[in-house]
Amino acid sequence: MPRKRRAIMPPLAVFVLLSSVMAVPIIWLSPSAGAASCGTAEVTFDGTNVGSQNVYYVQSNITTNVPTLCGASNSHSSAWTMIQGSAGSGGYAQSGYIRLKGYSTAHMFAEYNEYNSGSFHFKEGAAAPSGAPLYYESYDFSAGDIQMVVDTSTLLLTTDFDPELVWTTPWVPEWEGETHHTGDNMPGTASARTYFSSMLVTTSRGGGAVTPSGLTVSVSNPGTNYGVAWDTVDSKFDIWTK
Amino acid sequence: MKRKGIVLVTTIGAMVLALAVSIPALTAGGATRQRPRISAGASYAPLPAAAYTGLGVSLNPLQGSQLATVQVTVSEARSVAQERLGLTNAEASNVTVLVGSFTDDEYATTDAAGVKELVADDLPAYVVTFSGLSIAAANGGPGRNTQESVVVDAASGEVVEVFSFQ
Repeated sequence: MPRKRRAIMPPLAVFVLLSSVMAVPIIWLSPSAGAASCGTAEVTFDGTNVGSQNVYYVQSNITTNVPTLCGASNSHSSAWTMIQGSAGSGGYAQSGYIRLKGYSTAHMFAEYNEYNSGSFHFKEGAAAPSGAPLYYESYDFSAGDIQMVVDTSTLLLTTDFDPELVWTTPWVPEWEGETHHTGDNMPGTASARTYFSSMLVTTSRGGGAVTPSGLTVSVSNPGTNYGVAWDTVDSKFDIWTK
Repeated sequence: MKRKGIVLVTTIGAMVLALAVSIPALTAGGATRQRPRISAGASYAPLPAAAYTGLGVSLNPLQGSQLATVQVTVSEARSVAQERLGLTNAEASNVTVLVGSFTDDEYATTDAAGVKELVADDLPAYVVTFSGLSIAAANGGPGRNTQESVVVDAASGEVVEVFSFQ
């Protein structure tokens, strides 16, 4: 019986069989076609403006939401807190979580640069935990460096220079979501937003943590599909992809 | 035939010598019986000094007792690293794989009692470094790096951390 079945296989059946086999690579290739939905390759920030207060400590809890990426070679979506030298002329130190092309999830990261150009120092640790872990940057007056902390109490990175000797004041705070392709999703969706909460800074040596002031929120590229809104001005806001 | 035999023996001898030179700890103290998983393609070399000053990471030679913990092959480590960074084969073609005892003096957890514990402290690991990349700074600035390294636990195959500094 098996021999008979094989013998009567009509040309149409062969065609259907081959077509079904050929369909596999056609379907498999579809993600590259999806790159067309990546839009333009440009950096977009979604969060606060660069603050004007001189700060030595910046913190925020940030809701972990693994963003969807469009699949471009430079796909990137992150959420972070930062201290940076004045007016963008200085360097920066930041920590938060990030998802890059090829990643199945988001990981905690920290990055700094003595100047706002050239090579930077980047380190990425464990997967970002669920919930809203605390991230902060803190200038150590004794050691003369900035420590970048993730998940409330995990030190990930420390600057190898003393910003006080390099950067001009004011050192300013910033809280942002960020993508590098307009087709990448910002962390958070309309129904599950990414919250930056418990935003605090210190403005003097030995001073206590206080709520920052004078902040506004916006999307740096209005043509994108991202949203941002205050929940409590200067203290809590949320971002999302519409 | 005799000439071919000499060439073969010489070639094998050179390979053994190269492995012994590149992984000196493997041949120390008669530990060679404990290294079935480490194959050619990985060698030991210290990380650049800038990796320690900038990131706190360093790599030392594996010691005898650490050799038995190595269960991940070089090709497995490389595959894990490539997958973690989402690199195509073309992007991942310029790669070096180091094996050794990895320590990160900065990456540390602190418990409620204030006790600090390093996440990676003398951990047998592969450091898989891809070069020729164009890595954008996470702050969106103009900074660019061309190398990225993935630290793979040599016992479990898990990614310990990713770092980049040049």
